[in-house]
Amino acid sequence: MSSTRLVSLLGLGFGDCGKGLFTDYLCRHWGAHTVVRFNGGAQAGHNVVLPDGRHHTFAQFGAGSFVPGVVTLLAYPVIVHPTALLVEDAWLRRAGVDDALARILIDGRCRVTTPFHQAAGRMRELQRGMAAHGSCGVGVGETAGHGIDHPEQILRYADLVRPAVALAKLELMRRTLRAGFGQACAEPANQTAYDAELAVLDDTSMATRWLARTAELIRQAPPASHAQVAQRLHLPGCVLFEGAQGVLLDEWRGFHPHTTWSSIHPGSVQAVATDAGQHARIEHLGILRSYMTRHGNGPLPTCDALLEHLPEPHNASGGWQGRFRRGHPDALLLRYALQVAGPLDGLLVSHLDVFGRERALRWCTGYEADATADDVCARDPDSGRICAILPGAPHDLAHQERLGHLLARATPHYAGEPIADAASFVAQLEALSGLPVLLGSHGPTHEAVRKLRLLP
Amino acid sequence: MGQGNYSQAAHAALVADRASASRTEVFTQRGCHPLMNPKGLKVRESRDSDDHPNSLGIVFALDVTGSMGDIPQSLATRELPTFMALLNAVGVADPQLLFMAIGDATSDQAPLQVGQFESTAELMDQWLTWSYLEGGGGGSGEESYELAFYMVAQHTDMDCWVKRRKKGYLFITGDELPYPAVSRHQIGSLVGDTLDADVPIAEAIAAAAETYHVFFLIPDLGRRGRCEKRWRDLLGDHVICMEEPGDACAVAAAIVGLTEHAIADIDALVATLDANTIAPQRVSAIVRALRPYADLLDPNAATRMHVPAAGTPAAPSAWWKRMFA
Repeated sequence: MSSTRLVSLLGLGFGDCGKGLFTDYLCRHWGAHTVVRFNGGAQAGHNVVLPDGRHHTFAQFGAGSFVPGVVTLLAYPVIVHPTALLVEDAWLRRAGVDDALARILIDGRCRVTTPFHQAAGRMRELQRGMAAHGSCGVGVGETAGHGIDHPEQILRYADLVRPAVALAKLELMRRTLRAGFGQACAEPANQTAYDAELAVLDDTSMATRWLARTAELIRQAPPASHAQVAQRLHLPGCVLFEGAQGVLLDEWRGFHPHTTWSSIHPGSVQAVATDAGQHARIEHLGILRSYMTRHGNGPLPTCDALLEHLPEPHNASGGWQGRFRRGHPDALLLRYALQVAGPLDGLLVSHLDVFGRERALRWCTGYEADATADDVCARDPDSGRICAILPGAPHDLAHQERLGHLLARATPHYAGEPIADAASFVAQLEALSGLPVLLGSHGPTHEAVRKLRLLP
Repeated sequence: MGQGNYSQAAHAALVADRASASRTEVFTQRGCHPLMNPKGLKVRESRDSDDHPNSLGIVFALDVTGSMGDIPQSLATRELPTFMALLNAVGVADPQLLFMAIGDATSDQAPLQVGQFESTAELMDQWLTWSYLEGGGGGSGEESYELAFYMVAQHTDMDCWVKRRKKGYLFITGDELPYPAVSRHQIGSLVGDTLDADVPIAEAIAAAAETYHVFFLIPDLGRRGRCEKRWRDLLGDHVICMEEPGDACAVAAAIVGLTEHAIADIDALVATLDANTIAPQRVSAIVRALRPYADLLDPNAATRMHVPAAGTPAAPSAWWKRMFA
């Protein structure tokens, strides 16, 4: 019997569901000593607000970093963005956390994203014009893709301590990526932005300068060995696995191509624990927001412009990713998320205070749509409406793309009554999911989290 | 889903750096770096170690005057990794690289700068970027290249030579003439050595060639005219005329590979360059630059000459000869 308690926090939506808040809360409540990032990379953005007003959007540091002593572990297969990590550290210092880099452990096997990947990823997105995927513009997807096409070129965090190796790989990467782009952007309106990124790929001094920056990070956070990682995951006490993104953006289960290169699944948590020889049971908790949100492009069937007055202090529209959208709670997407996530132990729900302000939120219980996608969904025999969307076989992106098309043109059908209050929402959620709702948040800080059931 | 705030900032910072990066930012030195000042220098050593048991000393003496400063810059920003990768690809396991910067001792502030032998690109890069790129140069059509021969002959000590009787490599890049002799006054003031008399350039070269394979690389065809003949008199086929300065690293790595017989011949060299993602047009230019030297090493070269060398067997008569015989 291990004395280490392992708990994972998995988003069940398109992100922005409160992972930062609940990670911060559980670090305090359970005294977690380690927050493990096990998927994604620098594109995460988990907001934590403290009762004294301090705020930080956690991208690579674990959202427990405000709690003294909590260590962040960037586990393999996280994609590390070294220079962004330095910038984030500087921001954390402004928020009063001055030892974040001393409390981070980065597995030497982690893949590293480079300025070249960031530029190449942006250029691909710029070329798509109106058909943009909603990329974060950070280079995570490009890095993952590059690693698949050219495994020998991929830079690992441990390579950064050997600048000769790193420089050689960087030059190879630069040339490989550069060879994939012409001078003209397929979308002429984006030519200026495209040129700016192309200049990065043409810049032969970028690698040296970037590497010089990363040296500063390596000095403070040298690559961790497999043994150090394993030791951390065996320390007595609580370890939280903080999932980035949400399962509806999962690389295989999201709606292709509007997904991110990140596996958001209990299986990926299990893989990290197993790799460290940690075989204790992992409790998996699903996190969702009381209503749907989405950043960037991709389907959001219940999107409703009337909800735009709902406050969103930390998710501004604009920037690389584009518009932030809000929608009504969607029972079909929730069931789909639960189905692909597999067995969970409970749910955590954020933004329950919305029901005090917004009287018009209703459950989406079905979609009206034509019959062209009937092989990827189920219809209610009485009403004829789509009542479920069906996951495909593993790794069937064609199926996922069809789902995306279906969702893009589906008209939501709403339950008759608006949701009365937080208590009835929670009751409906428990009935729908068959899972206990353990925690609910009614405001931005850990003090606004309420225990709805006796926590295990 | 996040916004990538920090990565945007990191990206922006790097791009902003690039916008202002220039030669003076890569090479920040505004005078001779104290550790590269040869004054009082005893000996620069290239030694075997546990990590590098089979060291091979390689000296790059780079002309840093005027436009020749492009070569150090392209080395620092681009070519050093290529050079290391190529040496590795041709089977030179443990190269140790020393950078020297050459100016004009009659007019420059820092006409001779000397680094250390290093095995890692990081440290090589450090010495390289510590070099002060004077950018001036005298108007006499000469630079103090002869100082490089003197320094390697008198002030270096290499295990490859001491233990294994394998010569190291000295590559000088330049586009001007050497002074006719190593001046004892200059050696006295720059290094602090006491010489009885000036050392004629040919003697300085002979002394260096005892322990080094010595090469002079001319950066492009346009600058051959100024200096090629004089250097050919001094170094023969060890003068390499490149077609563009950016090829210096690949050419030097190829010379090491060919001389060490780590690469069999030009054909094998082409394959190695291709495999290391050197662009095809550059491969052609590198081969054209190296062909005369490569032929010198290749016992079968004569059979490929357009003019049959004396004593080579006549080629079998062609079909038309038989028709008209």
